[in-house]
Amino acid sequence: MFSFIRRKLKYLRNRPKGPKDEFTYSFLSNNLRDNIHNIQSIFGNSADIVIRNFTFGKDSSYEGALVFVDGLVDNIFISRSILSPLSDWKDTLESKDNLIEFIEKQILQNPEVKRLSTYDDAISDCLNGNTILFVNDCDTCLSISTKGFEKRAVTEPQSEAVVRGPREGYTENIRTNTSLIRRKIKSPSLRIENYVIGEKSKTNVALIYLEDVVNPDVLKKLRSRLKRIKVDAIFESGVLEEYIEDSSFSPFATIAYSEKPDVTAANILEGRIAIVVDGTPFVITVPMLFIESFQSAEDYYGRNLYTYLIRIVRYVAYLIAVFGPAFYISLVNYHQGLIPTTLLVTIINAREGTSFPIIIEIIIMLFAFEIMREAGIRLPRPMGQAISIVGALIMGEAAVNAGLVGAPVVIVVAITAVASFLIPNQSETIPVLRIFVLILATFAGLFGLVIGLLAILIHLASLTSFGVPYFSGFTRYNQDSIIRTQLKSMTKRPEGIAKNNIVRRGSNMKNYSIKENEAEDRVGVQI
Amino acid sequence: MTIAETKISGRQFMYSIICFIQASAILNAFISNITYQESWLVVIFAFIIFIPSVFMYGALINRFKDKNLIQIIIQIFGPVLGRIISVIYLIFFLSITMFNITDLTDITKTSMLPTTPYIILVMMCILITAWAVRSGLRVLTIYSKMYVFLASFIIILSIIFLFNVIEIGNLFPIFSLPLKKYVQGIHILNAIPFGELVVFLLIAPNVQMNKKQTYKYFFLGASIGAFSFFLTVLRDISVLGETFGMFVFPSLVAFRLIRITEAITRIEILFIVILIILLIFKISILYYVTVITVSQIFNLKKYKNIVLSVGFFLMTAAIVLSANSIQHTLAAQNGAPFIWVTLQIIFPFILLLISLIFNIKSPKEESK
Repeated sequence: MFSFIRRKLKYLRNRPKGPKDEFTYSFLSNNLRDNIHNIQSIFGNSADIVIRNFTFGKDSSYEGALVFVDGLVDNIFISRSILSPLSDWKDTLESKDNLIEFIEKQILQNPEVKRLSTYDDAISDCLNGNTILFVNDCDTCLSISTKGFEKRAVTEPQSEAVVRGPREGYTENIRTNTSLIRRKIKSPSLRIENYVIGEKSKTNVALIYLEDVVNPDVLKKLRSRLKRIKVDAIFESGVLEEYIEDSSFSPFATIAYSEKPDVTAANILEGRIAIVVDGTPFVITVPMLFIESFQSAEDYYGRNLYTYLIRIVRYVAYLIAVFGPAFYISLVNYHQGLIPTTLLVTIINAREGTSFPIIIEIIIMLFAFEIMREAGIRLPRPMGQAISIVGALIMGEAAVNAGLVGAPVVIVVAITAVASFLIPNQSETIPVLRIFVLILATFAGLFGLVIGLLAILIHLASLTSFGVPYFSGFTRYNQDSIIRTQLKSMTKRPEGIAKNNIVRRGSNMKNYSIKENEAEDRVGVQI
Repeated sequence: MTIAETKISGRQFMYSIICFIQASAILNAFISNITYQESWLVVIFAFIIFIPSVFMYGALINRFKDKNLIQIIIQIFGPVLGRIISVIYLIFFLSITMFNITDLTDITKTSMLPTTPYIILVMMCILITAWAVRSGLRVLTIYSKMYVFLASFIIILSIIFLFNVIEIGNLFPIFSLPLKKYVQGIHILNAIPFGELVVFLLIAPNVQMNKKQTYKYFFLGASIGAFSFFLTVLRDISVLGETFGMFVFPSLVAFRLIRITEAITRIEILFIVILIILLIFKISILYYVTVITVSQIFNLKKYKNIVLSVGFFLMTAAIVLSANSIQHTLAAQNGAPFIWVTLQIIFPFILLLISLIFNIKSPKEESK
């Protein structure tokens, strides 16, 4: 019993204190002046809030007011679609009760008009770029869609350039982004769910999925996790990612991101759920499998046989990026017998002039590389080039000549660095794992490397992404893992992701044989 | 009380059995200095004699669908006597885990890291296996298929690479030894690679398979494992000839002989790396079984809390009690088979008999 009381007390002490409601006013009043006054006091006379009073109707018998945020709305559109029809209307109504309904149904020509009755709704609509119309003697107002703020055009994505394939990328506007996806999948079962996250930022977040393909367990989990988020603001999908992912301590990202609508659309078609956050061109998809990092959009647009090769190159590059320096250290420090004799002599010669132990050399080089990479990303482009010259000349050539590091170390670190660029989705994982394996290999050679490998494998096997095992998909049933099978025979969606609807389509498309070709030709001749 | 675990598939169970036998068999043939060049023949005989035990294990698993070995013992012999017998099993599991850890560190030390102290290697091994055990049975066995392919790959590859030194004549003459030696060899093999399969009785309740599949997967696993053991012994004898009996790790010596022009030489370390992976898998299975046994004896609800404590005990035991692999081999040849076979084959058989005679089954609903 005491433990029960203690638990209760603990709960009461640590109970999360939610923020108080910002608006204490609830329902609109009948009086126009009261309404305007309340709106003004809620916004605290902010400079960008515009309140436009006007009169209309026969002998200017009716009073009205427009409230909108300057910069979020299209001013010309407001005057053309709201003010001018209202001033053109020179008539009167028998009763004042249905004035607002009359305006909504007959006068306004906007496609999207809503009737609201609370301050909360009015304010949030206003802040989203709508114009609020108040009319005297009415306890409801109209929210008219007049969004028209500056936005970036659809351009080629910076982070995912392709040689062949669609070049459009997401923008910062949520509506543009959802429309880009809707344009790819014109199915009525494509669902878009809206959420508003962030106590202050009120960011719009949209879930997009295919109703008949999506795994309902994942959808349920995602909804409940989104509803549980209580934060001030969400500015980027990466922030949202950290709040909803399964294990935030893992070096591996269990949520995928993309800047290209065709990639997201393909993911949605496999049963994943896309999450579009307003204000960022990065759309995230859940659940993610490890193998997704090794797939790129171009794998499906190019020749099949070539993708076999390029996939294998990516996996090998990943292994090099993680295990390269560790392997080099264990060879040079512990297992010199594995190195061919001539190469061994070269390495010994190269290391003759250097004074540091090999681990220090590698750490110096890796650290220098990370510094240069970070500098190159953050600086403006012309300065980035200067950095690369400094890096190439000074870090490479001069460091070797000065006897700071041996030439083989430069090569190992360079190959490691280049290899890690092949898998952009895992670029944040690789440095962490590399250091972990490096330390193990320094102390126990290949044995340590194997222990590191096993540790990574165990960790990968125990990871999940929204309940779906992260490291799954390497089975022979998966038609798109280590190799991408021919599109004609890719008849199934990945297991685990599309739980109930695995079959993509029937396997009615075979390779066209010579006979069929001849038959087609004959038909062509007859026509 | 049952250990809450996600169930693994029957196939994974099979691959785990194969991998378990391969891990011990590839490395260390305990009969090499008893039956010499006829060891390959002994492997065949030993497996044929072991087959009834496989079906005995299968029958035991099927009779007690939701209970592991320790729970069966406690159900049949009651809580007090049952626990006393379980403690004997615990000592048995602890000692084979310990011996395998010693094997692993020994092969690492002799082949790769001659100057590294034992304690570092043992500690790394214990930490990684403890992590695997804590992650649960699914994670523990998920890579067994990959390991089996790796092991088969190195067996086949090493045979191909050693073609130039293989002499079939080394395998003969056969039936030249006294009968006593064959019996001894068969006895040892039934205890060490094959009899150790008794640990899978503790994993079986967490496997999803019907009665027919139990026999199928257990038998397939044991026979594929035995076949790879057979191939390894065959390779080592045909390569090493009369010297086969002189080495602690004949396979390691065989790997060292690989030499294809100047390009492929001294690659035994790469093979050893794969062997280490297999051995770590075996140790983690044994470790898991030990931890499960402890938690069953003390009736614990969660086994994950005691993983590290058992690990520290194993670490100390492996360093202090067993010095090296030669000791393992000696124990395997002289003392162990007589005690171990009792626990591995005779005692489960008694359990099966009692449950058949008194019609004890689990779960009870099935018996109605």
